[in-house]
Amino acid sequence: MSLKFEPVKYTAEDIGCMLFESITKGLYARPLHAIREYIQNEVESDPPPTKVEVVLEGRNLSIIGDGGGMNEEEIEEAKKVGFSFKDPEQNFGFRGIGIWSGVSIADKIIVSTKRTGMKKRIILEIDCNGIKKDLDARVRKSLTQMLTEHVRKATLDAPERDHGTHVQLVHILDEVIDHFTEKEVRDYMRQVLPAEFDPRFKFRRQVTREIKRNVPNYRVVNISFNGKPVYRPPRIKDLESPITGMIKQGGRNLAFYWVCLHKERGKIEQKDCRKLVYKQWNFTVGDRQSCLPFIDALGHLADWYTGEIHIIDSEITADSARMSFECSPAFDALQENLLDEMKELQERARRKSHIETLNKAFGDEKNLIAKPKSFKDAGDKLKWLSSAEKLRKSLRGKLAHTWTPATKKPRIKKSLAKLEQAYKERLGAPLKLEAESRKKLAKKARAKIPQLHSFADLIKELELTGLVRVALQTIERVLDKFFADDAEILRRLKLAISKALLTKFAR
Amino acid sequence: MTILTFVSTPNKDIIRSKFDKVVIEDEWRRKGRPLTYFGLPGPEMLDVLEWRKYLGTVIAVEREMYARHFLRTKAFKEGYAADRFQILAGDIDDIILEGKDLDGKNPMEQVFDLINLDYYGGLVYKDLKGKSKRVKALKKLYEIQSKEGRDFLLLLTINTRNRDYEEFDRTLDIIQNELEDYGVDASGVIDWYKGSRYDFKIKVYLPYVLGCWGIRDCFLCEDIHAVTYQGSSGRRMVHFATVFHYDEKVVGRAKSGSLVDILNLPMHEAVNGKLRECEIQPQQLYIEPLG
Repeated sequence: MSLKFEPVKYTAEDIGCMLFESITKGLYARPLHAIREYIQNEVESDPPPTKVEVVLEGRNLSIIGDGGGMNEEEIEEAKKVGFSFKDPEQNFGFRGIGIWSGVSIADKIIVSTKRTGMKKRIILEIDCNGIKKDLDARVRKSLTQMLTEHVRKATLDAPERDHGTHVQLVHILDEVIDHFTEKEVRDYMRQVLPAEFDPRFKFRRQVTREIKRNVPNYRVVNISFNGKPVYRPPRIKDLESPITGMIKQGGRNLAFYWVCLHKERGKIEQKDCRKLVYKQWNFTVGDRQSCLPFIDALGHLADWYTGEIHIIDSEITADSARMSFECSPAFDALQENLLDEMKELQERARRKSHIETLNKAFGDEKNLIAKPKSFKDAGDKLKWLSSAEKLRKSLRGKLAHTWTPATKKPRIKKSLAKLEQAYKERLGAPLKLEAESRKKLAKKARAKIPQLHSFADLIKELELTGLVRVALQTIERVLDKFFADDAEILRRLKLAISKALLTKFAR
Repeated sequence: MTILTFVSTPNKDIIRSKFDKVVIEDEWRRKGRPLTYFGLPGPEMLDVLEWRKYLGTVIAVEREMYARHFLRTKAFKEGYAADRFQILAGDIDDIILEGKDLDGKNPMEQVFDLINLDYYGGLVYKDLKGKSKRVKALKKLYEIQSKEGRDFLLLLTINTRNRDYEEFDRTLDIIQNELEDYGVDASGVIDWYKGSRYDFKIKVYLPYVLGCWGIRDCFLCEDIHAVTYQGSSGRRMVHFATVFHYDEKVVGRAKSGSLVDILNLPMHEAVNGKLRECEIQPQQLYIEPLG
């Protein structure tokens, strides 16, 4: 059977406006992503901006940059849906949808732009409210008709030397306005945008130098929010020196990473600095939970690290929502190789933990030995003995461990010997109850011996506490049980034990 | 395609750069610190740029959405970060009266050093109930400033298109009566004003009413400068630069001396981008020294 196919012709009328919903509301799950989209457009202008400012004024959000701006032709390109003149090899964005990212969150979008040398500033106005009404009413309109009705432009005389673009989201909608608090916007910007490192990050210069050397598409923009500069994490001082590396497949560079281990043993305090993030063109892809090979390899130790993985290979492409990467052999290779690389980090963290616990054990040993040799009561004594036993066990373990440096082993042996000695001394040490008061109590109790019918009386008379009290109570229960038929033997036994205790106390 | 335009005029330019700037510089020197600006700079913020050397925080008010948009673009371009350049949305009188703008934002500073009310409209437009929001707002301004006892420089531009012309003549009569109470015969001068152009009447009316309102909140209007010019729409405008000094001891009504000063206040004129003394000057009132 031979079939003769012919092309099916599509016209503008064949593409309905409902499609638009999936590239606006449907694509950007988080309303704040619109900020990233507009900043990305600005950053990718030619020439790129020297500064970008985001201003949140009431319900209006402005994103302004002094980049190259757009001329008439470029704004004609920008207004298109799903077309982009950007080269995917050279830009993070190339799908031609970013300009529409604010449609579902504001009443209006104003884009005013100007290229150097042009005499006019061009203003593009998107009536998001009108678009939203059409989409909500599920009107049967073509996409082109709907956009023609709700997008318009104007020009304004402007000095030729002016350049840059200002995108304003006018009147952010009630349903999303809660996301646009000063704190939330700033936190978002810090996490996602290609800003400079926080000045509190001790190794920022060193790491920046390394990234610049290894990541060709790395760029940094001077970004501010409501007049204050925005810096990207980490904002931590107490970090170990950075570890850097290239993830490769064969001879091909896939990504470059840098990580810093927390100086203290344990998690990094600031939750928003923990773990690694993927960066492409220095924009964050996903979040700090997205680097699964790292999390898989390190488990709970992932929170001890902070760092970034900068994607280099152009075949690894972020998805439209920038929440992950599109499936590709290159991305699979990255994940695989990353897992191996990250296992080394796990060992590093464990080694660090091992050494730190060893150093802590030395400190604990000193503290334990420094404690007085007599104890105020049996509970106190028992506590010391159990701590010492625990420490002995830990030190013996460290002594045998291969991660313990040979230089530390003599020190461990010395500590163990000291602990052994201290343990022996304290095991037979008397309780620190004052001798005089103890004698008095014993004398008083001896006088009352005929009246002592149970250990409970003895405990009361001698004011016994802690372990001795518990031991006596247990002994009494056992004796009561075994000699329930012979009251006389029971009485004698209890008397004998009471006398023995009184003699000990009297001494 | 719609064409949006914003224009200034050579007369306005010269007033900004020569007339106001001198007064602002004096105030800046006197206070010894950058001045907090509150007012209507327009989307090109020409006044703020002209006086930027003397200004600290700028709180700009704009009613129109696109004007606000371009104002923010301009502020960015000129290096004004958002933490010292605030744009409030709405009518300036409403913002003064309610303490917040259309979006519910409060001004980032509570009191101001330089208040620029480049109204372009009249001062005493009244609503159906016969009340003027603008007057109420100005009175509220004194109240706000007096809470911290902050001296301020008021720049005020109004046009001569005012339906309530009788108000001017009535004020002239009041001034004449008050001066009579001090034993000063100002009838000749008052008659001259009554027969003069409206900009001359406003030159007397405005400092008088501003002085009266200010004195209730312990503000003394001491240093007044007035200039008249043809506005962009061909309408005659009058611009004032007035320093209000706060003095807790100030009570009661204006002194005779200040009334005479108001009548004798010279009128400047901006013509074709040049500033000069007005060709017609008000008839002067001379007071014979006692004894």
